[in-house]
Amino acid sequence: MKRSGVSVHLATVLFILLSFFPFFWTLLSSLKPASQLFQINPPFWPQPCTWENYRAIFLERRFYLNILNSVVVAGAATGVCVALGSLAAYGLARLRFRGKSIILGFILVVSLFPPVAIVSPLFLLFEKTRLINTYLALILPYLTFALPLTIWLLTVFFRQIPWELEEAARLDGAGPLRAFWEVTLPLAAPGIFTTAILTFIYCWNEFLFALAFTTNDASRTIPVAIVMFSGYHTVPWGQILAAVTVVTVPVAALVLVLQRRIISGLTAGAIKG
Amino acid sequence: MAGIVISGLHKTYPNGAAALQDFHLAVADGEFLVLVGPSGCGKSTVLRCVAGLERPTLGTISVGGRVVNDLPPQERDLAMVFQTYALYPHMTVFDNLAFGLKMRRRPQEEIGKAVAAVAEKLGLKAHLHKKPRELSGGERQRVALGRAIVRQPQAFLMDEPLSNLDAALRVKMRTELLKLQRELKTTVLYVTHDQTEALTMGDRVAVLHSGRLQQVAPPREIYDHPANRLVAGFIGSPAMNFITARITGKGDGLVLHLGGQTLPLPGDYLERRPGLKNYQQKNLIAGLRPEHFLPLTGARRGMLGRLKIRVEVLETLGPVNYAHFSLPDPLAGREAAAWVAALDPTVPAAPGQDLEVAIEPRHIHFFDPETGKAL
Amino acid sequence: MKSGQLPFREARWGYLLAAPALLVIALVALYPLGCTLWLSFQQKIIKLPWLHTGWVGLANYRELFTDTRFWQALAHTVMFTVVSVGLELVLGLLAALAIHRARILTGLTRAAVLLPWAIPTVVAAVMWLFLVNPAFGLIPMGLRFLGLPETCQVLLAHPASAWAVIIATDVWKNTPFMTLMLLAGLQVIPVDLYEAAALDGASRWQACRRITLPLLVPAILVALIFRTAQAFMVFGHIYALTGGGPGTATETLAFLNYQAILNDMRFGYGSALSVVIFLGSLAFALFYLSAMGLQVKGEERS
Repeated sequence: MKRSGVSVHLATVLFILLSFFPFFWTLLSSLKPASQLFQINPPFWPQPCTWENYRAIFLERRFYLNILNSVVVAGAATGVCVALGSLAAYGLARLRFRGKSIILGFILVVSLFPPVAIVSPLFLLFEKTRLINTYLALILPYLTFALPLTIWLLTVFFRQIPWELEEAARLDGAGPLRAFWEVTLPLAAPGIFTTAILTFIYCWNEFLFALAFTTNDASRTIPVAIVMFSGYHTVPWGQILAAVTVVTVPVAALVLVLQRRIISGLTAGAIKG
Repeated sequence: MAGIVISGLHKTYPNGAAALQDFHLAVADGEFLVLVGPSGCGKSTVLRCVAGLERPTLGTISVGGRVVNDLPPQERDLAMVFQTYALYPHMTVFDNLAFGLKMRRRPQEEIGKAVAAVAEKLGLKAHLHKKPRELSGGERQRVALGRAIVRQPQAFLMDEPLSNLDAALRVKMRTELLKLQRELKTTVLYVTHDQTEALTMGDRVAVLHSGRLQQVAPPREIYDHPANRLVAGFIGSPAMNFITARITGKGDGLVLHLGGQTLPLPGDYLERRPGLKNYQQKNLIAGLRPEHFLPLTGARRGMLGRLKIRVEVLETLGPVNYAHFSLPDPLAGREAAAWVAALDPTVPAAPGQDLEVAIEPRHIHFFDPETGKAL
Repeated sequence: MKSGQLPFREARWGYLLAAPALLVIALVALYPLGCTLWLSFQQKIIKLPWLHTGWVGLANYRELFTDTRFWQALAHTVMFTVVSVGLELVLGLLAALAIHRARILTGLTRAAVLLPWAIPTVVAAVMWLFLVNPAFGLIPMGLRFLGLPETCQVLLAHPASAWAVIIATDVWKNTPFMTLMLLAGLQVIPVDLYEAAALDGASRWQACRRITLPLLVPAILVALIFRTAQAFMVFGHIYALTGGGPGTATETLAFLNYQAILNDMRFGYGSALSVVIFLGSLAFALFYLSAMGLQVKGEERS
């Protein structure tokens, strides 16, 4: 009993260390001056710390533009998805009508859809309509995977709402819209919020569409921009690692604060579905 | 306050299942009417149709003389207490109580007064600022009641409001609820599957089975004169014992055959039970409540039918002992009927023991074997 | 008292609410998919504009199925999917069991576990690219320390070790997801089952085999399905780590497809490949739906 307890704890700690170490190493390395970074057998701690890489990505590479692009694109796609998805999910979870399971099955099939399958016509279309390098060229394709995900998650969450409360509100004298506004919406809010976070993360991380439909540095999103830092001859590792750190810190904060919601969203999408 | 009249209510679900058939019920103004039946009998459907949460397939529902069929729930001026209480989890107790009045756009001051009065009456004053999840089951139950009371609606609809409470609290709330209703003189349509609740609380009891109303009567009458075998079997605990029986003979030789035994009946028995006239020499169903087995004391010895039984299991409850035994049921062509007798603890009985118990013929219920109607 | 009525108004509202979302999905997903299908029967090579453009029937598919690079990419994709998802399942299961037993999944550690999942795939790949850098990466440093020859330390230069890096990156990034899924599955197994098993004389190992694993099957299936579908479309790792190399040794279907379209500008041929990939994942999705027994059906409101 005692011995297995120790090994179980060791395994857990090891697992957490392995998960976390690459981030830690990236952070340390991003603070090292080039001489230490490119040294064979580099030192563990940066001596001294330098902010040069961070200065370079923001002032020389205008990395803030990429951050802005990611925020706008992921934000807009999430907004559209949550708005449309809430309506659909309310209908699917609350109302009784024929063809519901077909709709849900269709949504599930679309969510397993390979993104690469629509790259060629969309590229030709965006080329023709001069949408390459615009936000729209990313937001629209992002809906293909984000909207089914949103509908699915919200339907799962809405099913857990005790609809008796809405009935109670109706008997208490509220009309259908009033009952929805005063009772159902506050109850649905946590689920909507969780769904929005997950959708945002998925959009934020998207790579293929962002790579295919942007061609200049200023319109790239974060993942593409970081990959494109490398030139033909030189790889500016310091800047790459600084950029990775810059985008990982807010994600880490988000994950730290919202972990329960994220996990409930991940498992709601799966265990139930 | 107002009465509720339901007439000709039918409810058929799209899958073809009929939940209710030709249901008529009038709840008088100020009456506490309990609608009781086993789960799935359609009793909640009645309530939801009255509330406006379901649309009846056929029939009219009126509240206070006004037909409400086409009114949405919020315009029917009814209050409902749900089994799960359906308290708004994101609102405080005060806001829960005030919600109905707010929806009716009553002035702030009036709302405050009304809520305070109800909170006082229900002992919720100390909890007004709490959220429902901080309350105990009994307190939540009271908030649900308070939410119904505060609006002074035309009538209350209650859907198994006590079944989520533990046994002791349920008994306590039963009396509290009754006291409250007497005080407010409100019309209540109360749905439950618990026959004890029905008997103890209702001014009248309506028994529903398989979507059909079986009987509506005051509790005593339901108990003493069940309209049919379904009601007889559902009301009363432990349930009434049934067996196939036959009446033969005439005058002083009139006897009842049951369980392979013969009980003498008084000569004027058929005159006093005219319903039995056409059933001589025919099979009928005899029913006997467990408490109608009497000890064989000297005084009664001569005048009563006697039944020989062998006790199989004896349940000792304190004020009463339940003796389980089986009677052969040759007339029905089945092996045996399982019976229960409630015996006075002073009657010496033990498992495996042979016992003689007395039965008063007037306590025996008879039912038609085909229709189940009481005779 | 279950199920319920089907008033015309309720059904109409249902369709009305679902319509906008379905319309958008049709417009952004189904319509382009139709275009892909149409393009797959065309010859359309933007780099060679003088070449005849137009209907070529099944020519693109014929070319695709005789192309050894396609078959190689298919084999790579299947290999990658099986190996990485398999490893993630085993490691995820062990980690989930350990964490569940240890009960030390507090806020900070849970966040540490979630973090690899939450970052973009290519960011994870870039971090690993740095770790395996032959000159100053930590992993070659370790290999040097073990005394392995210089050539072995250039991990991305050899097909086998390049795959090892790709798979390691994927396993590092996605095992936490698997762990969390399985952990959620573990947490819904009632404790009294273990107590009952203990009273029945089952050892820890027996309890794990006879109770935990069978009851965990649904969670395992769902996690496997999600991960398999994702792994089958693997693109970011390959693009950021190896660019398909050395040579074509690490090309996967999605990568090959991307190259055909955006590098070679062969829209007809690329679309044919897209259609094949789509049909593959459709078959998988339908298999998934039937495997899950269309749970949605039984979950009508009661």
